[in-house]
Amino acid sequence: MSTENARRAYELAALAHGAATDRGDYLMANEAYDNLIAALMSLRQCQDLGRRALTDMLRHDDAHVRCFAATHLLPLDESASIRLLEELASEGPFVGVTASVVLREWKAGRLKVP
Amino acid sequence: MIGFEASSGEAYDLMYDQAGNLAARDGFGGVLFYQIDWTGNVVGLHNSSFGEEYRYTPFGESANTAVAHPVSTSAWKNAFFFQQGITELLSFKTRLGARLYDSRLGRFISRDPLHESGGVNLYAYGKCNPTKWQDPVGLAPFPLAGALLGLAAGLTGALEDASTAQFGGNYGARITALHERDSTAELMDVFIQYGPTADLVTFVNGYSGFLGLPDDEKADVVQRFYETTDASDLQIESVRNAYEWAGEVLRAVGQRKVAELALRLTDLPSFAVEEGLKAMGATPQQASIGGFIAGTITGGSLKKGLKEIAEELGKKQARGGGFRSFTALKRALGSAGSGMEWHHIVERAQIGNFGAEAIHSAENIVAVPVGIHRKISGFYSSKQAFTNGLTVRQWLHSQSLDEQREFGLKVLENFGISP
Repeated sequence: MSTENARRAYELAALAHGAATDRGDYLMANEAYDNLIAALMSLRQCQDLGRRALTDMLRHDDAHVRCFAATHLLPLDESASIRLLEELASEGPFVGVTASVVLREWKAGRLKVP
Repeated sequence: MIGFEASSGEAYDLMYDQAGNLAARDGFGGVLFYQIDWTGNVVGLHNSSFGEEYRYTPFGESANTAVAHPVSTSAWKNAFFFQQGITELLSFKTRLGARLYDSRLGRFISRDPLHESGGVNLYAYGKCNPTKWQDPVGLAPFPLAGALLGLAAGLTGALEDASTAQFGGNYGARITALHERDSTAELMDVFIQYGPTADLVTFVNGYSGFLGLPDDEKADVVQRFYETTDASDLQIESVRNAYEWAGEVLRAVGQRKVAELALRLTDLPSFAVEEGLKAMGATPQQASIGGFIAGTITGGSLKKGLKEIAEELGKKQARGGGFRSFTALKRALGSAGSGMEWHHIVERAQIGNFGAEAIHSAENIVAVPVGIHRKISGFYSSKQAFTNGLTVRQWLHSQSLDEQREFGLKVLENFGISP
């Protein structure tokens, strides 16, 4: 899969996951989550290009996409990711909760980033 | 007519009505008339000018607080009291058909001659639950609901005045005592319209038990009684207050408002105090003591004593940590409100980890709009960025109660909801 296709798949899965979570549709959310992780694996295979694609998504219009990208960049760019997650923690449901718990778990060493 | 001689030597003839209830006597003291309540207890003895009144606890102990038992002070040497049994002058034990009954112990002093067919506890009176069961012949308890049915049945026999209705009711009670709980609320309405006012507490307990009403709905029963009779005496008002307060108590206990409870407890009539204490989980004896204190002591000692009781019970509730079922918790808290649902901060799915009483407690529940409740439930079933591939619920499962509560509060806070 090309970097662009992987980036696009990641973006669409994150958007779908966020929208489904916000309306309480966990079946759709979980399907989107699995697609998102598959797209993340594809981006990782693209190495620097994949990392750059994730970094670009830290400035995405959608908070859900930014939140996932920041989470998955934590091992690679911790300071930028934490800065963004701290901003997102003050957002509304459910992004705010997710960002603050991701931060807490990362700092506690319990977060397993795929 | 049956001749009778009291243990103190006075003799009189007894007359019974068609239902087999004591109706009158002639002899020592002249012609006197018995007053029987709907449960079959003798509650009065009177001539055309004067009368004696008798009251009882559900187990038949005298509730005439001025004396140990009216058998020792009856000017007319009456010997018939609880369940129309003969009460001994010195021991206060009551002959109920086949056996002697000790109302102070709340049990018979000899074994049931029917053995286990009358109940597994061979000494128990009314299955140890006399507000629902009675046993006037010492053989096999029957439900008080049957007495209610019977009273209604008696009333349907075109009986007009309240006095006759009582006799009719008792008659009906005897012949319908074995009825199952399959009657309708309409029959109870008949009772409400015509029933005697003599023993409202027993009535309300029996009526509510019959319909399976929770304590906090008893106030409605009394209200209906109040509205459908011409009576407006202090007793009705007191009992109504008692049950309204019982509902308050249940809710306040659920919300841990112990200090408020203690304060309320000190400015209520004894009925209210007794029923309130029962609603808080006091034993009947504790409740009775509380009621007695409220009825007989005034001033600072009353407030201090009752406050201590309330605080002790409140702490006990707090230690217990909640209820065994969601239904019981909702009964205590009432409705979540229009368009709202009760939401568990730590989910019900965690009962296996922490026990039902930790989950079904007022501290762990909050009213939220239905739409938000559904969204939060969906969130707990979803995989999220921090759950390492698990659902939120699975991810939470290994965490402590405090950690799960902190997470639950964070989710609510995100919606602008605080408990």
